[in-house]
Amino acid sequence: MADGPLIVQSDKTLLLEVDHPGAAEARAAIAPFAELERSPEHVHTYRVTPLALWNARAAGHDAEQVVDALVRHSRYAVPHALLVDVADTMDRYGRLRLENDPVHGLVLRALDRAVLVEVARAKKVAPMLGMRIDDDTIAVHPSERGRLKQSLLKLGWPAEDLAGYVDGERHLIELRQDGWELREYQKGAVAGFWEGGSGVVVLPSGAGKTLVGAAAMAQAGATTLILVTNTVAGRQWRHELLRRTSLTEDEIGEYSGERKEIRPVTIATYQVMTARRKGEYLHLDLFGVRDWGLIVYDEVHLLPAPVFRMTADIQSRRRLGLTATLVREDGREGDVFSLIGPKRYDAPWREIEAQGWIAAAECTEVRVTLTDDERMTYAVAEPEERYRMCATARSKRAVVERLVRRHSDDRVLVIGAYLDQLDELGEMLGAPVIQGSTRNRERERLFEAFRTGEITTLVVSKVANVSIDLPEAGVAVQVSGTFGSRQEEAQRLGRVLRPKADGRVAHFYTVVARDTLDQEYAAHRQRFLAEQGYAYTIVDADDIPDPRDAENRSDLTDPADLADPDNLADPDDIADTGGAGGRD
Amino acid sequence: MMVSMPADPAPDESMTLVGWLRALPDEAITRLFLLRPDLATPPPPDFDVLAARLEIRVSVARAMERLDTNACEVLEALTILPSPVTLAELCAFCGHAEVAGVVRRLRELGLLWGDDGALRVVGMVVDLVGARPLGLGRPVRECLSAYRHTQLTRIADALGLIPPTTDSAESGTGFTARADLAVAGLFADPAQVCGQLDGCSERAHQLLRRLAAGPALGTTTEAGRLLPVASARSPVEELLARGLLVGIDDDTVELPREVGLALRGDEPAGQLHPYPPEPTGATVGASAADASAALAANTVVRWITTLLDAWGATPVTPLRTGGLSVRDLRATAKLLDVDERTAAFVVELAAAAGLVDATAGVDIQYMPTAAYDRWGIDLVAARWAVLVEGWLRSPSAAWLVGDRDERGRQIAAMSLEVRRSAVPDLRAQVLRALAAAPAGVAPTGESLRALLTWRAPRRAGTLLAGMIDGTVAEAELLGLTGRGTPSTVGRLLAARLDEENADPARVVGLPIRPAGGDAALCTRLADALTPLLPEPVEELLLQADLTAVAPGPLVPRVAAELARMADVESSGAATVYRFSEVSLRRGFDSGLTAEDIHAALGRLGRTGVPQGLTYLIDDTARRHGRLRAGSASSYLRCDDTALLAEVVASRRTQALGLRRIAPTIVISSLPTGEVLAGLRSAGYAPVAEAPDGRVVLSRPATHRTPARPRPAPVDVADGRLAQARDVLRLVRRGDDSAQAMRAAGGVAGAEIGLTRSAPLILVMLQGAVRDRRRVLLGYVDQQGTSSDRIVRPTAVDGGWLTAWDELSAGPRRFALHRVTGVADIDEMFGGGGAPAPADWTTATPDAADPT
Repeated sequence: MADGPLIVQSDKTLLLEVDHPGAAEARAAIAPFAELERSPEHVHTYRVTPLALWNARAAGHDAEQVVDALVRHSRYAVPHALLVDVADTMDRYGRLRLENDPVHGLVLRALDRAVLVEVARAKKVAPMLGMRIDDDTIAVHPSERGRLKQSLLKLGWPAEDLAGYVDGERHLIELRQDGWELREYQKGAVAGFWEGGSGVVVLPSGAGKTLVGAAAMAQAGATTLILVTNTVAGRQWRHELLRRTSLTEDEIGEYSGERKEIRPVTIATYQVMTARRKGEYLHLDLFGVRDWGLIVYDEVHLLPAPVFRMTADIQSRRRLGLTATLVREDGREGDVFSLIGPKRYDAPWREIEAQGWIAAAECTEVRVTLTDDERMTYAVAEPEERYRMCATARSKRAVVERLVRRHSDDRVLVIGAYLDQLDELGEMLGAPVIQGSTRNRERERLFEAFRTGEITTLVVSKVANVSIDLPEAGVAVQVSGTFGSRQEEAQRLGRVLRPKADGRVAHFYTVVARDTLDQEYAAHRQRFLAEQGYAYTIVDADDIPDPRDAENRSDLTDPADLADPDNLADPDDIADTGGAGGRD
Repeated sequence: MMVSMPADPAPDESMTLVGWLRALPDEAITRLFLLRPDLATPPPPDFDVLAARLEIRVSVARAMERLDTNACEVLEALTILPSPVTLAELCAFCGHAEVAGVVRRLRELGLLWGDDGALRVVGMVVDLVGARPLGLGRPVRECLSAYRHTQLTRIADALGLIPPTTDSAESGTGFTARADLAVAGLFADPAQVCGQLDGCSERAHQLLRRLAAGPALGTTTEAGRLLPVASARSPVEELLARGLLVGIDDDTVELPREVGLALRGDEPAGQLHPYPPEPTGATVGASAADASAALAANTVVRWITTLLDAWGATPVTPLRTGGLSVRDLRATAKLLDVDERTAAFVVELAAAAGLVDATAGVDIQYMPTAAYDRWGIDLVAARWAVLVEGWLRSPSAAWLVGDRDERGRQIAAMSLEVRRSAVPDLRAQVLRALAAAPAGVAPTGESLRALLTWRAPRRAGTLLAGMIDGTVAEAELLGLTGRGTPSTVGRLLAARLDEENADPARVVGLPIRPAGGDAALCTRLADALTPLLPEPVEELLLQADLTAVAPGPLVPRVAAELARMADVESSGAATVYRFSEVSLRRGFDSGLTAEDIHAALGRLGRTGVPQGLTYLIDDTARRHGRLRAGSASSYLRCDDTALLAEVVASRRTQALGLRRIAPTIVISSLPTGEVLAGLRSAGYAPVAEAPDGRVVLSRPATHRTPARPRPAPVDVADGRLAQARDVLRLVRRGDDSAQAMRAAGGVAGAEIGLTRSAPLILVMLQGAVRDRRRVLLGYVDQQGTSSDRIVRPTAVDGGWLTAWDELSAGPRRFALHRVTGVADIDEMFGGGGAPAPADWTTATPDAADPT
């Protein structure tokens, strides 16, 4: 006691002091059962939730380990009630089991009769249950397998699914380990998944999640459906599978907005899965079009809600979820748990950190003081016009120009929400503008030119910004508009701002009009980015040096302002499209 | 072996309770008054009345409730032995156990009297102990009272007591009386009983041994089957046939006392329990307990602070019937992030410590008292000690909140229904029992219950059951136990309670909590807790996400400083604060400046102040107070600024309190009418058109009520002792004069004197019931006719006397309040008179005359 790095609060949050010498060890000890909530520079906040505890239980940890980790690393006495609660909660997982009975088919079996009685009386659960076979067993219709698990979780009695899986259509897939091999934790992850049947493997980005997917496919030796966030990610999967496995071009199909190929291994995007016409999902039958032996969900934490509903119906197929974090912006962690499966493997964090993954992006809020005229206009604007007024203030132009000049040797994206403003900026910077109405071919051409370095500055609208294949850049300047959900924002931000191979720091500037709504929105962003561990600074527009005055250049990017890499939230839970870690 | 009072017509002074009392030294009587205060209120006029009070059922029952198992067993043994008995005989009866100490205690309590050579129990004790002491049955004669005469004859036959003449009809009832006497006579001789036992089968012996160990009653379907010995099949039938068991109803048999004693042999008292059971449970370890306790102490102080800050800002309106509404309780639970049970405890705790109270007057509201402000700035340990000290003496049983009362209404927190006068005493008992566990052991509920039962086996009641669990849970919340194990502070408190328990002046009733609390106890508790608490910190980790983490308990001054500028986001051992525009504005409103905040954070922040926070403070400060508001009663406006300047500067308008707040605007706190009048008198010509503008520092309004006066802080124990001495003086004086009066009366006339003092009437009737003596009863019936009748009392109960009335030769009930006097005629004329049918009470209990 007395000097541990961890403080256990009565509201079940854990405060981890990161500068403490024992912090790394404590983090490794609590990571399996606590979700990282915030990771600012000094004290990281974890939360112990029932779901996290059940996940830990499913991944093979027991209550004793959890209690021991808390007591051992805690600085002060741990509230006894909390320890009791932890043990009680973990004990609830697995009291009910879904099993395959040789006579009755799918059954719900209880290790604790009282629990079975309790859940069978619940209004939501009762209709899903069939005949009572004996005191401890009730028949369940196979089609209710997913929904039953969802309901039981809501009742606080998560069922362990031991009912087994169909093998699916055989298809030989082999890993081609020439000059590389699976790392220990990757093997562990595959083994953990395979043993559990279905579930989620949690690996920080850069830890080679694609390889875990590939190895799982090889283990299954069956046709596989891979669901990814977007086409870029899909192509990367394809590329990686071709490189690392015996699969050939013909065996991998792409099922996206552009192409609709169904092959033994099919990679589909979430977007196409959720495409609707007149309220009907158009591509639902993809799940049933082949006898898939394995379904891989990339970035489970971003899985759209309709895909959950589809997944509820295919509970007899093996499902592998891959993610860096189980925390979902929409709070549907429970659905991941019951429909994809519980967490089957945790990365040994320290090992992965030791690989030296460094991500750094410096976020800067540039405050522009509006002119008196602009202020007056803003002051008397209609409420619905106010944001537009401050966001598109002309005073921002000079600052943007200075910023772009300052990074003239890097690729710069200027992002905005209002077309007039973007057109003006484009004209001023001499840069092409991509907006919603820009035709696809033109857009692709410009993106390509940007990627190759032919164009160094690109002005994109919010609409274009949502497009899936926005290229990487070293610098992003946001002049107006917000990104939507915080998760989405960080995701996009992270994608745009990948650290460069040469270790240069990526920059994200937000140009904000002082004392307006613009600044208020920026405050939310600031909090979120700081919680994610990004270094965040505020500067006055007047302090942005004139780019032609090279002397002052280094003022802004003082390396001391960068957070220690250890403190950074894992950058890839923000974005994971590029080939990092094992993919490289 | 019946207990019987010798009916001595001219009793020796030392042989009566009154005489014994009169001869007692002053200290002994004073002590008796201290131990049993009900005897002294109101002061008894003389020793006769005092002796009568010693026989009052309620009083004796209350005294017996405080006896432990050991004392109860000795008392029960005394009711079995013939009276008087010597100490040595008693000792031998109890298996040579150490009884002298117990006897002394019982004598002090006035449950037992006489010196060691002739111990007697008070008559009422015999009634309260009941018919079956120490697991033994009733004497055989009483057991047999349920049998008809044919059955009695059969038993007498089986025992070889065949009557010489068997005249059937005539000798019916006469023989019955004689038959049970004959059986009783036989059983009175242990050798005879043993002889009968020897004739029993082995299975019958097993059965007998089981019943002899107690209780003496057994349930069987064969209870009514009284067969001749020869045709008895089962052990029960066999024993029934021999009269060694008696069927007392259709399915219950009783082992007569004589048989039980014979079976017990050398240990007539059976298994006794001279030592208390030790509480047992899981071993937790003393240091783990202390760590948990320290955490709990911190938590409970935080709860109170959170609750009372909230109630201080927004006082709560109680229900019309008194108490906190369910909605408010839920809100409290939500505020504290605890369940409703704990919330009720916190509310009651705050009230017990005098930190919250209802306002006086019509619009009653709950709000913090002025004491809360003093409490709030103290150290955590001291604050905690005040809570514990208040709780200890509080009559509130917080765990009852939410339950239903007898009328089915929910019991509200802070209502009168939660308060039970027995609670402080019971709470002290439970705490003492907890601390009786060996160090580092968390006693289980059952073992606590066992110890408490041993300590007071006659105490019962529904409250006690909840009390144990409730007190254990509350002790844990307060940190008197940690993980169920008494902590250092818990033991300290229990030691104090043990001390009080040993002090006779404090034994009874609740020690009243002095106003302002027991400061000495508070200090001792706080001193004991302080080393257990984690070292308070005085530094913060400030982070770019605008949070500040205090990595441990903050020193109160810093916590208060921080509370002005940031909101608590998470609490526990550490505290997470969040800075926001709102929280900072609150700070500025309360008079802080940006510089103050920067300075404070610069001083406290271990790792510097993040830039985002600096900006937030400056931004908020910059916007703070840019708009100004104030009140004015009237204004002047004028486009001519020169004219306004002149008006303001004029000496003649100075009385109007004019103030220029803008070039063209002047305000005044005077009503428009006065300003107009003033201006006009100064020579201006204003026309009517339709306060001071300093920045007023505002703090959130808080409400306080003065605490209501509590009992004066006199030393309770001393006061009681003095009181007891006064009473004794009164008794002695009254007794002397009463004796003198009696002496004088004795010379005047030799008529039959009816005892007319109400308490004595009761005692004499009770004695007559016990000893089956006849009395002369003066009675006034419903019509107001008074009469004297000779009756045999059989029961005194619920304000009624049931007796065999010799006048009407039948049972009858008399209202006690219409009995005008009683005289013991057997005592005067010796025994005699026609015996009442032995079994009329049991045979015709319902035939009693209701008048």
